[in-house]
Amino acid sequence: MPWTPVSTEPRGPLLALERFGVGYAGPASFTTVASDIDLSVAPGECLAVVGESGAGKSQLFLAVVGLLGAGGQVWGSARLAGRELVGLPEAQLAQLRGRDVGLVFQDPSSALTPHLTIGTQLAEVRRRHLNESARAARSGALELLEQVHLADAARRLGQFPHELSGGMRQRVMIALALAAAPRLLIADEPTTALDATLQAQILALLAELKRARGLAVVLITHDLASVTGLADELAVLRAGRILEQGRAAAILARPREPYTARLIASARAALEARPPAPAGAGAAAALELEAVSVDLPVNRGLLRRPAQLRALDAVSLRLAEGASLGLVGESGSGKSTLARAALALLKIAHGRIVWLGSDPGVLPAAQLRRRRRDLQLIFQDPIASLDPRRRCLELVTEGLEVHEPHLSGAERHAAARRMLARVGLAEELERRYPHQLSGGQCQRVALARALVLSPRVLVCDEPLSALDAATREEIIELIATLRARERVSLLFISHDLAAVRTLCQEVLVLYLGRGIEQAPTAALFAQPRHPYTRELLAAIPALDPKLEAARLAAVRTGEPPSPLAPPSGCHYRSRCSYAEARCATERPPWEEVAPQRQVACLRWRELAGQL
Amino acid sequence: MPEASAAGPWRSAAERLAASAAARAALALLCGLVLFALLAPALSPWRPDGLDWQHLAASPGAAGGHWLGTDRLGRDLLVRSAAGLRLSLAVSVLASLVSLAIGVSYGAIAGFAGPRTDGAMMRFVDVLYAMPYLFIVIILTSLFPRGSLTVLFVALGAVGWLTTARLVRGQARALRHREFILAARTLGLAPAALLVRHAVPNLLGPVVAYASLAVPQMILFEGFLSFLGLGVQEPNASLGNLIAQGAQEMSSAPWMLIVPSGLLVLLILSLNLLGDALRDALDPREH
Repeated sequence: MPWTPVSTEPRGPLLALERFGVGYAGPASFTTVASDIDLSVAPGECLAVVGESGAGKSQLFLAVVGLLGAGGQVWGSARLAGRELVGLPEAQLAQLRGRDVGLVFQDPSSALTPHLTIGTQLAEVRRRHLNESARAARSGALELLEQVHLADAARRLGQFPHELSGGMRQRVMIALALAAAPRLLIADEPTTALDATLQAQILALLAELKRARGLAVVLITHDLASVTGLADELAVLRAGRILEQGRAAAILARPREPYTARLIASARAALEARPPAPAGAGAAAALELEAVSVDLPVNRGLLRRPAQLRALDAVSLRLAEGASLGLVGESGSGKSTLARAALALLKIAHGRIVWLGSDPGVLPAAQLRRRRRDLQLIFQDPIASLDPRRRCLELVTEGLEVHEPHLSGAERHAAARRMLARVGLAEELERRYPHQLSGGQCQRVALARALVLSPRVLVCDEPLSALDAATREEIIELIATLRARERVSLLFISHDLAAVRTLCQEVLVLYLGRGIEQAPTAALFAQPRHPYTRELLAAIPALDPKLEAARLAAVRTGEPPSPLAPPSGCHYRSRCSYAEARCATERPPWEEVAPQRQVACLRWRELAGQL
Repeated sequence: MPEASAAGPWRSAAERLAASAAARAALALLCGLVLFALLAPALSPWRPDGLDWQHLAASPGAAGGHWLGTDRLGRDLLVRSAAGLRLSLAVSVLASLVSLAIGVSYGAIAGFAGPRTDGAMMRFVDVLYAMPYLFIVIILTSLFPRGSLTVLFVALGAVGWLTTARLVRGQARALRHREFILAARTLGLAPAALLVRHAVPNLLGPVVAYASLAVPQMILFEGFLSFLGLGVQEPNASLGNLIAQGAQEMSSAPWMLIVPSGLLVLLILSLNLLGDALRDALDPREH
């Protein structure tokens, strides 16, 4: 076992901060990031540090291990197992990082070196910190991957980071952080970039490591709901100060500070939102997909022909005028492909798309471009979706230049400014470039750019996942108001089920490119008809620590199978606990099980009562 | 808010360029060189091809008013270098601009076109690349009168655009699937507008950097061609043939090499600095 055994003798905290502070000396002034921080973590416990972005929570813990930017200073006291870290020379801090403290970051793809195999990277840490021989390090690396439950660990050692999915990469990151058997793990938003099912899996893994290894965990997050199952202690950080701290269960039950109460209330509200009332059945369709399939080429190396990946397999959906439809599924389930196909940005292999009564596939190019104003798209990464070389106002007026050429420049500017005001972008920001704005502000610009054309359909492709919790709520609210005011139909794609529940009248669930279940939102959440929908719903965190702990303990590991080689018959059967022999041979038909409710499961009748 | 907000990326880039100290220095140096090239032959009593039998191979500062000395035939080196600089600048800048214009439009179109058009266009570039350069030049010299500047210009331009086209095509391929390009498509922009408004401004960074290296390269090429007797011929002067001549007299009259090569160094320096500053100015993220 590479792990330091947990000593049984009663001991003080592993990490203790006392009147600890961080600040940066700028050219003219000194900026304090955090001050007067008193925190401690005991072995085998998890301290969750919760705060909005900009509260200084990441900076604080990076400073503890000596990862400061230029001009950074720390003061006060930070003791790791009794050893004072403040004032320790950089060489000793570097020794400490990795060996005594493991770090896990939000974005696993940028934290792994792309040109080295997983095995090499793991072995490197072990050889450096534990002075192991190459062979011992190699077998240690394998052991680590097994401990983080990475499927097929032996083969993964020889793979490169890009060959793994996001969830697997985060497991590798955790293995890397644990490689030298540290006693403290600092995880900075480790699940933010992952979808709900993977989020639950990673949290379950951290909970297991904490329990089994006596690891002290500091979990930094903006998402209160995601930490309730793991956190023993909770500290709420705001503007560089600790507002409230104590046992997590106590704070969640009885917050003392109004700010904490507000955080809890908004997390709860998002989890318990009432979905909007379903639309009447009579409305005409604004956007329709009839059994649409999309094939994407996948490169298989230099000399082989690209394989065709069936990214979307005979998916049908109907979005009525003025209605809102949510599209959910794990990453890789074909949600974004569906969005792009619906907007005729991709070639479809089979099926038909109908935009307000006409088929974009047969429209001449010029007419297709004219019709595009009716269907607008909002992207996941708001900054990447705005041309970096144009200012906000130019970005919003551009669509008008194309579609309303009769307007004068001044009229276009006036219209763009009206729309920017409506999406809540301050007027002084209109001359900024996208990189000078925050993610939330960029998403507002993207919304203004789409809505200034008065479209009939707005497709939002994961518009929230790049934003932090507070901004996320603002944007959800904004989309809800704009939908009502601009009378636009909404196709809302997200892995955030809480957001889908707030915004959508109906939900369509995708799994590996196939429609699995469609139902009115309230009915779907109350009574899922497909085992996969059941699993997705189980991944929604609850704000009750006991329920959460039980939920994390029950989380099943398992990645979705590769879309290049999906299981035969029902795609879901490899993960389904109700699968039987015929699921491997028959493709489940898309059956109407109730009015406005479809499901694709061979056993839906028998399972009706069990899910 | 003044209407300047809609001035577009070009004007903002010009403002940023003017704000950069390195750009101002590079521009000042370049202007100085251009003025020198234009004015020196007019203001000096000597003519570039005028012979001064009293001062053959005179060293700089020597009598007779030849501040930078003379060559073997007694021609004033200052005036001759200025004339050479003028010719080299004209040929290389013009050839660079033409090859840049062809290369950027060709590469951007290929990069955004479908796989077949892209393949056909880039294979054509490959074929041209594969032709021996000198072979092209020799064919050209048989088509045009010997020593004509047209040959030089066509020969430089014909090859210069190939690299630009490849560079731009690669950039365009990478841009094609970026979200802001997709966003522009959903706005209903026509392909031409998409290229001009969103693609080209975003791929110019490396192209500008390359172009600032291409101009000096063109000058050196021109020197090489002149050296082979295919480019600028006596009694006309270019930096290339002046350096070639100077190199032969290096041991006896080093100034004949130092003066034209010094000018070339200054020119390359100013162009590189300007290219760097331009690339930064074209990218608002740098500020």
